[in-house]
Amino acid sequence: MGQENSEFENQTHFITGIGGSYVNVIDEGISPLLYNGIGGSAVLGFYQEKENHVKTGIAKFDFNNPSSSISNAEMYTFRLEGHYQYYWKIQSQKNQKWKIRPGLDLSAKWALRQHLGYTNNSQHIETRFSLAPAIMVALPFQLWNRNFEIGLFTSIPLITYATRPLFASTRFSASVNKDEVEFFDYLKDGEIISFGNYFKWSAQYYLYFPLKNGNGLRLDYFWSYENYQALNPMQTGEHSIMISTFFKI
Amino acid sequence: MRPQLFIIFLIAIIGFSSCERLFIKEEPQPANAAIFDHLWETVDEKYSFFTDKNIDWDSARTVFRPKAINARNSIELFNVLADMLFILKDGHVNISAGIDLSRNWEWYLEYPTNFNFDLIERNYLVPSEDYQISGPFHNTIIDSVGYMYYESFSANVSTSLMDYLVQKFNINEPKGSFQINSLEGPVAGLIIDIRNNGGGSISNAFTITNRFADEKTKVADWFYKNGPEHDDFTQAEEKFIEFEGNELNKFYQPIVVLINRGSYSSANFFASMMSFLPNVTLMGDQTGGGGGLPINNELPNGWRFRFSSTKTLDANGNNIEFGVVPDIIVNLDSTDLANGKDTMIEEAIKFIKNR
Repeated sequence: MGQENSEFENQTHFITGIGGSYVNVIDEGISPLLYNGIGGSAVLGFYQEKENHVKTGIAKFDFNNPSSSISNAEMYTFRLEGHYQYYWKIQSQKNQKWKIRPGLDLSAKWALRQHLGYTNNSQHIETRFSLAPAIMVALPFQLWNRNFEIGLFTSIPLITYATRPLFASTRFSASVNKDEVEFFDYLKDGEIISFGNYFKWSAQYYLYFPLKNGNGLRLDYFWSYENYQALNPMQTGEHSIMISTFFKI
Repeated sequence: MRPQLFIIFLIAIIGFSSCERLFIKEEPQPANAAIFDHLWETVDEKYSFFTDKNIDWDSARTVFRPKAINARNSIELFNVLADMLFILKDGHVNISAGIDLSRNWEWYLEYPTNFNFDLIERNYLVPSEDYQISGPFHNTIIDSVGYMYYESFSANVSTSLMDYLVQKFNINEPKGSFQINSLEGPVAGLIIDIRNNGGGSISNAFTITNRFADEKTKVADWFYKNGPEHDDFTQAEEKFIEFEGNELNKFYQPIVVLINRGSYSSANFFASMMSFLPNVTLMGDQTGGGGGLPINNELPNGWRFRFSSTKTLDANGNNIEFGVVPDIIVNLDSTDLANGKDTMIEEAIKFIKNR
């Protein structure tokens, strides 16, 4: 990762990782109650570092089984989230210990919440596409004569395209009058949202340990908070801890 | 920027990361007013029949909110909320708490029963050599007319099962060869009995109806609630039926669908859809209604409630929330009952054999 020497520059790594996750959800399209619970995560992606920039792309899947402590009802949540991030290296920081890299984060998210006690409205699907300014902060350091790096990626979307089901149904407006719901129906008739009715903050903290053969291991903590004041407002807080392998390609 | 500032920055972000619960809150012991308001507002914005039923929901709030606030315990609160929902006159509206299930069952309790399964079982099903229980269908042949009773649309039906039943009633093989019924030819017609069928999955209603359909036929328009105003609905979603099953074995003989006030929800949809087939006659009493798909929600204290969130007009523009009227009205006759006869089945057999 961000080792500012020739050994680690111009490298591309393939990322695979697994871990555990935890969600807090209040989706008022489903219930006013807070649902929270644990689950698992998996991630695939790449990390590319060149002289002037860093690029990374990941696809992350989460499954959780949150429940309400008040109603004792349960739901399943499935989330598939993709990020493509581009960070510019600031040349003046080349010899500095701390590296700050401004960048952009393009993200897409598909989420399914399935309430296990409901009948005709058990499955709620939603999608998001966001453009966010992002910052990467990295601190390479040595410990026990080994190289490490800690850092974070964080972003707050400026503009987002969001789709949610109809106000009092799990159907999407684009699928009304269709016998078979098509995948792209979930992406149509959404709204463009920004601050005021939508706020999301994502952060990813990492500890990277490069191996001598060019591969590496990374421990990540992901966190995000989302608040969408739609017709059916919703809020989520999502956490996951993952261990990932970096294979040099 | 100095390293210390970055450390502060990191600590601040990590700190905030753990604090989203500051913003995602729920009240562990919600006040009666909050519980009432969530119920009233959710129903106000998402219930689909205020206009059709001419219900003054604002007045309900005025009457019941003070009572809810003054409720001294959960039983009193439950009863207030149940009383408020009762005015919607909708069998799809309930509150479910551990202590009780609120309901409005006037749609069948205020009318004649018109059904006695014990009588059918003892006098029509069991004595018949053709009696089978095929999946959810009690079926037999009565006086050369096929009969099938479907108790609940919650019990799944497959097209292959429907193929089997049609084959049983339609088969026309020489006696002594392959036989799955006691007749030498096809039945004169079929009785589909959905009396006291309180509904279930609408997909089962389509599976059965499609097996008896032929060309693609429009049967209904569905409207989904898509906004908080009482008349915020999507454009019509047209619903069609079309034949599905073994093409070599279609059923063209007369069909009588027996209905009563206990035929509700998916049974109501089924009766409505079947009525658009040319060989189908609805017989019995009006169905109980239930023309909206019910959806679930929860109250801040964890009680669950449900209510209708769509409305359905049949292909002739009739709102089926209020029931489907039979083509031929028949009620069970007490003398027939005393003699072990089901008047509706007897009339249906006569009707079919006279066609």
